[in-house]
Amino acid sequence: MALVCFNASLEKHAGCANLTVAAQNYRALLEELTQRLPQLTQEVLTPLALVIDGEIVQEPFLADFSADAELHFIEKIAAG
Amino acid sequence: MSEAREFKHIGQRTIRPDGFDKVTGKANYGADLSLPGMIWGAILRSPHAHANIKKLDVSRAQASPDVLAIATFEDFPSVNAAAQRNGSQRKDLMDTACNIFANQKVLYHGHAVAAIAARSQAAAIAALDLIDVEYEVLTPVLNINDAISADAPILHETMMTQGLAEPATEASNVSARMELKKGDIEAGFAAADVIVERAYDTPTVHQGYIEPHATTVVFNDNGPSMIWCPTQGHFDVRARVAQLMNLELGQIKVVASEIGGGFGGKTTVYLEPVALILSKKSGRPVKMEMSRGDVFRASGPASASQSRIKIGAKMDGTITAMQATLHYEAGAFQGSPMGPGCMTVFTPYDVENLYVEGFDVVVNKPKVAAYRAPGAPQSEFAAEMAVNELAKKIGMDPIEFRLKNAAKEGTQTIYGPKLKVVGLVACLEAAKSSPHYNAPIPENVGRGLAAGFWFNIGGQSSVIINLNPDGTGTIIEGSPDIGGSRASMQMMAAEILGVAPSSLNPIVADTEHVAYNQTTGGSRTTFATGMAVVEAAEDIVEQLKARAAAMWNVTAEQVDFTDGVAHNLSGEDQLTLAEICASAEKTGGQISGRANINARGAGPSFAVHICDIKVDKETGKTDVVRYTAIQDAGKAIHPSYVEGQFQGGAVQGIGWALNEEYVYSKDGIMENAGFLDYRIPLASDLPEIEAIIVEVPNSFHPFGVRGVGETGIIPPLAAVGTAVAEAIGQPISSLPCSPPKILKLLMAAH
Amino acid sequence: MVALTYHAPDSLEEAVQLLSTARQPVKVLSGGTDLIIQMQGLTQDERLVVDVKKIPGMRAADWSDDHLRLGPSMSCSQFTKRQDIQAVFPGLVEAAYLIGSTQVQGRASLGGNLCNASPAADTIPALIVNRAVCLIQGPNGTRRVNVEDFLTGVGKQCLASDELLVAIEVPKPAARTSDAYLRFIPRTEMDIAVAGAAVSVTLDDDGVCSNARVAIGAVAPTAILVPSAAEALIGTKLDDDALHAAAAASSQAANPISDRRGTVEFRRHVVGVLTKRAAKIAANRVGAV
Repeated sequence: MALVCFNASLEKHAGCANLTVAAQNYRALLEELTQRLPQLTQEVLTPLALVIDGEIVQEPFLADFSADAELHFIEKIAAG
Repeated sequence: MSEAREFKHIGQRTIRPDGFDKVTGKANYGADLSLPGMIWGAILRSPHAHANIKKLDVSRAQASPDVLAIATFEDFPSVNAAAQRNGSQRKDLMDTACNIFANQKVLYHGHAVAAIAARSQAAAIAALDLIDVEYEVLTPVLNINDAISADAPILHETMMTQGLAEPATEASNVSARMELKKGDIEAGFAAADVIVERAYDTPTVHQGYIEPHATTVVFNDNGPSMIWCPTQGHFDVRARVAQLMNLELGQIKVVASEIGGGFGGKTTVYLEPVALILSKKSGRPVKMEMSRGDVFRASGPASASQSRIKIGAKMDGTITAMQATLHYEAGAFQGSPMGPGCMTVFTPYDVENLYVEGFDVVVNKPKVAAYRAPGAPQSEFAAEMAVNELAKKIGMDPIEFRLKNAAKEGTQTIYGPKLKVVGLVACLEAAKSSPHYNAPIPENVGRGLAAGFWFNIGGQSSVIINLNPDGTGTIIEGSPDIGGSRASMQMMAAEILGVAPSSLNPIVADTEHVAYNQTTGGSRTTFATGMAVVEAAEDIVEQLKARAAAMWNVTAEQVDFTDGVAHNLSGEDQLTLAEICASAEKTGGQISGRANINARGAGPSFAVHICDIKVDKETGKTDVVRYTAIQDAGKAIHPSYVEGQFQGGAVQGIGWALNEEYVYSKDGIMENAGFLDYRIPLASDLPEIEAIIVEVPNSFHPFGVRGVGETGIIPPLAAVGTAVAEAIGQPISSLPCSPPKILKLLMAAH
Repeated sequence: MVALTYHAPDSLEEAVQLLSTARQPVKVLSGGTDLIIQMQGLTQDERLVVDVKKIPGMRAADWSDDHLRLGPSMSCSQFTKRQDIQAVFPGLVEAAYLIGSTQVQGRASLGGNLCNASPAADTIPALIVNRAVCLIQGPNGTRRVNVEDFLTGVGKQCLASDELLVAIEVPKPAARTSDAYLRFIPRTEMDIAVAGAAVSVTLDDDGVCSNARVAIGAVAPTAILVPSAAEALIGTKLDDDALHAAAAASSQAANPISDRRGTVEFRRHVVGVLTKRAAKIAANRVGAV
């Protein structure tokens, strides 16, 4: 089971600091999270980048990850 | 990429392909395009920092035979409709529109109110007097303290603070709050033997690019309209203008001119939509230019900030807790780089207990734009100053103190991920053994050292490589070159194709000739566009093998391609790349390679800078006597341009720390909107910046590249601040370290 | 629209004639490094520009028995190249050398710096300590005005609208006299003085200061002569106490403002420091003669 960790801002919506998920790709992850944690809406999650085992994926739509992956949602990095 | 590789071209110092035209004046920049029938636009700007527009009357201008077109906020199509059509955020689009033209309210000195087009620039400027504006002047909000005070005038009546524990119920100048945490901050401080807690502030500064914004626009009813402008991202100019004007992307073509510096400041639109409106109304090509004063007053400077930092450590040098409260000025509209400021502030440290709180604050100043590692210089300045003070209190060398706490592979960052392989320790070791750090500190000189971290990004890049029948070729990319990236693209393609870099001509194509490319920013171009170049070149290699196979009547698997030559593995035959191209007509037509990618795996870059500063104790004047910039490049494709990025970042950071600042009157009028009194460092002010390239490869890039463009501006603020503090024996808490401020500290200590 | 009329007369008489008969406001042009920038903002008014640098003598610098006669339109770069002048007035030459940049100095002139009457003009304190005199020609003849009296306010001097500065006379200094000028800027060049001080000293054979003049810039509406600072130096061997007293006198005489370039307190303090340092340099130069 992959581990999803929430930062302090997301924790407010999620109601927990982390949880494990059965999903192994981004689309399944969104579906699972929004179902299990109704406060965590698509609107909150889809603007964010996904970090998979330390790799920042700015556009994670097609991203897959392993069953033991560690996942974080972070603000997309825009830059100068 | 795990082991060292031998390269033929990468790592060489080739001559940049754009250099000759630039030094001989042939290169065409933003203001260089003139067209038959072209007229000029000029903008009427607000003389007030904060005022309601009671009346905006253009009737006198309309009646003038000199005036060919007028534009105001009213000329934007419904922002609602445009946002819906383009799927963009309505609020964001509305803010952009309201920044380009004030909508019933001016929010900063220099805010555009209306524009006029006439036959000459002088005529357009003169005709601005024919626009009648009546203002109801309001009290301006000019800094964070004023903005967050209980009785502050509110800039936007509908703005409610996002991210509070309880939803906000009243309008506020604070648009958002962000909170990040790790571990148990209270327990962390309880475990500390020594605690440093200090407040710091930094001023509003400008990127100071030498080329002012300029554009020439031709509206076309029967095909794409053309926008010529200097920009870091012409595809995003196209998208923004299309959104604002409610057009399809295909109705606009943007040509990126050569660019005289951007540093993040040329990532948005100011003049382009206005010129398009004026061109549409007049039926003529329209050219617009900002004056230097306009650039300072009405483009996008970097946020002023206030930071409170608290750090605790044990006497053995282990940091037990780090806490920050960060306030960033966003300017007139929300959206400072407070987020990345919070995320980067403590990332150079592997510490158990962290807590960061950030606030985005609107004030009556121009809306900020990106500036090299946006948000990080401000917050990391504060953190690094406090770290240096703590090291001193404990009695540890600042490098040893950092080595003891340095972030490395596996460090859990406050913003989420664990770091992959990074080069901070390598940079600190390089600093420790550098000639500079080992040189004694001269008399009356203070030495400061600081680290810096920036994420870097990847993102979308599209590249086409066309080969000619003689084996020369063209690399068609879409990433405006703001730092020598065309040279790097040549070298990376040449490495794969086994040809001379100079045989491949790199061009930055307009929005019609190559697919979408993300803006040049986030230190992404050599990494992500470079990755696309490599992939397009590899695409060509496969085709070359197939063509050689066809010539030899073997299968492609029987062909090896090395150093620009195809070898028939089943025989003695050889064909060079040029020979294969020459026979392409016979084997199926000409050869092109292509790559459209969304690059992942950008590698963060860490840096460590060392600065020696001499202070004239009677006048407070500072003199940088020695400076060394050490940074992890992953792999330096073109070392000269990597060093150039380190040096340029260092110089801009030194300017930020020493003398640069926006000076406002109490009425919010900017008083130093020019390079005479906005004091960026001159060549004669600074020593040669010694650049040391560290290479800890990024495994996600075929050659190990990490972006290098941004990190270099982060460490100078605290390296300089600490050097000045050491030189005068007084703590520094406020930038810039301008002579009046330093002299005051010296006199107070007397 | 801008209506700009340009004349470049061949003689002083013709120039004065143009000034006295003009119907529109007149601007006298030498190098234009200040004037052209000031005129950029003007879009409506009519202007007559009288370019005086082509008049014979306006760009010359000639010695007579008792003084140096400077053509007001002589460029700073021509001026600073003159080793004969530098040998006598090193402080005045270094002041001219500080204006703008190499490129600006190719056009900028001493007379222009004087007539533009910026409180921060670098050459004015150096002219004052060297007792320079302005020769002014008008329709009714010429008159002489000391530089310190020539300036009347920020950007203002005593020229009538029909008068022209035709020469600057700098008397040859007494034996064992030298000068120095220092200014404060936060950078190294391309900047405007936040404070400036010029000092001229005459030393007797024992090294005692027998005469001195001190003038300070950028700390009052005009550059000013500071007799009290000079008095603090006269009769001393320019020891630390004397220098300190001169510094205090300059700080006392200063009447600065706070603006984007510096604060009142800062300017007041720094002008004293500069006075002290310039006095030392001038004295060392006497020793070196």
